[in-house]
Amino acid sequence: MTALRKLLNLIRDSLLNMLRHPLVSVASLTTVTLMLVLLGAFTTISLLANHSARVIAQQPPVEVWCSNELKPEESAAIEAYLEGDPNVLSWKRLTPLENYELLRAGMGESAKALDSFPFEKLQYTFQVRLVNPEEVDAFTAQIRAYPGVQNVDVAERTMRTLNSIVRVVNTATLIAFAIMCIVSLFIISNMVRISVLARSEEIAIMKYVGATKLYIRTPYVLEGALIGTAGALLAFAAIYFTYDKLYTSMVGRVVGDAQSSPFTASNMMLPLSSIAWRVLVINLALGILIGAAGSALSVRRHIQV
Amino acid sequence: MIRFENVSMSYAPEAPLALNDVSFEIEEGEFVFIIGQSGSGKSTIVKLLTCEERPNSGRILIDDLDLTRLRPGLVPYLRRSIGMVFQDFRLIPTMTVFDNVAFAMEILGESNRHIRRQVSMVLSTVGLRAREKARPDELSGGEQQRVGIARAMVNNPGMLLADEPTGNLDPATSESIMALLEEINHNGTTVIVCTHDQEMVNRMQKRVIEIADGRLVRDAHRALYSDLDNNLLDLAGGRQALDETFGSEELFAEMAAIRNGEASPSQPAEEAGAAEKERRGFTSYDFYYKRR
Repeated sequence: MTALRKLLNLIRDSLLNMLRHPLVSVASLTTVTLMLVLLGAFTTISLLANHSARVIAQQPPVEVWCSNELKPEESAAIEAYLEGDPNVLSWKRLTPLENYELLRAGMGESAKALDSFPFEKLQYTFQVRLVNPEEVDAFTAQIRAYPGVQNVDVAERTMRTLNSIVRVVNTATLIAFAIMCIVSLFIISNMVRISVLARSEEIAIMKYVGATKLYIRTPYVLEGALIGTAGALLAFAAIYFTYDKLYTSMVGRVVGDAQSSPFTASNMMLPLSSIAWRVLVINLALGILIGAAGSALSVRRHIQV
Repeated sequence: MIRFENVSMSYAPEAPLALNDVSFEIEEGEFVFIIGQSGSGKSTIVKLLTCEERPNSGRILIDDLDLTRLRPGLVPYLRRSIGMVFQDFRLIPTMTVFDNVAFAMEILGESNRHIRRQVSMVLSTVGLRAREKARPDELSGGEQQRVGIARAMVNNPGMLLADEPTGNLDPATSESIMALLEEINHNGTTVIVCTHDQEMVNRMQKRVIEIADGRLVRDAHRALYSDLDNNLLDLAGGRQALDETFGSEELFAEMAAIRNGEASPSQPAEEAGAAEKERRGFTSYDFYYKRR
């Protein structure tokens, strides 16, 4: 009962602290919100960059070259595998005739040279797009094992370049994210330090009347967490409405040269529902963590008995 | 019982000793003045008693508890048994009088009902029941110090430490604050007052522990502030006169006049006491002792 009463007192104190020092509270909240808006915007940009890199990386298909005498059951086995592999985004089978037509189309005016070319000598191929292009090696190893498969053309250089772009984006995201977190923690911790300094006399009195470190620290940590939560929600709201507007105005606009191009805004941008929950979770987790940790760090020096 | 055993303490390794081999004992229920110039080491004694500082050598005991070996985690629990009164009152300006006092009980997790009852009682004792909703900046210095004393007393501590409690108050208010501390002492609480208020020490005639340059130079019961005051008292009528007219303003005024060379030691102290009694209806001696 006593412990519950103490906890309720602490929660009440943390709320009262915020009201007793409204300017410091507003300053802390503003800082947390701005930092989390920046973090949220960065999260959104990195999610979009990752998504876009992946969309681009998925474009050059992996070509599976098979025998020109591919038997129907061999073709069926390959098709079944492609259908069942979760890493296969889409696939398309091309017959020797279809490959012949493609070849002719690619040669333009010189296509006449192929008039007498026996298209039967061309191979069956499968054009495959992967969900995770970086896992192409595993895919190649699997598909090579099927009868009738002669070669797998990965367009390796393109694939490697795109893979390394995705890796760079991911690494840059992580580094920037860590830097932003440290900067946020530093700024919020300084804001809380100002708040603690404004109340250092109060803390000194608490120590003299016999308050434990935990009792002194808890309201500040709760207050930091509350400010972090409020800041996270405000930042989320700002990002949500901004992205919503941006998405609505961008989707449908052609980025490439045709409406059917994969490089349209609807392909390159993630839908709001997919972005929103991630930003909300990251903002809340960071807001609460940074608010509470920043407060705990700032108050630590002042509560030494 | 509080016991200092050969306590030495410095604030930094190379700094001079703030306390140098100090030993004394204070019995439970005593009223003690710790006097000395600024920087003499009297506040260091307070800091050592509340474990804000630790001695370099020696032992400090409260009953059987050795403060020099007390774990930091237990310090808050020690402080709950010590009431602290400060020169600058140290009230929380954003809280009401009631909340400032209640705050010390909330830390212990007491029930709201108990807090309400106890705080009201303590505020009545210090004469501030009617002002419980006021904020510190609406109170006079004396009233603020009474709130400070109420906060120090609300958890019924066994010891009250007052560091220059009248330092920011006028003489009349100081007198009422000291009367309140004495009343608390008469209820069984050990009261230790650090001060350099010479007049107050002389009026109250309590045990005096004098610290100079970190050393204990005098420990005397029913003592005056200094040896000089003892001499002046002799000139103004002697110890017997002081006992008979204890706290007489005229007597101390005469002592001050003699000290300043403005008067010769001719007026008997008894007459000063009689004049005071005629003017006020009672002497300070009556005020402090006979009314109890």
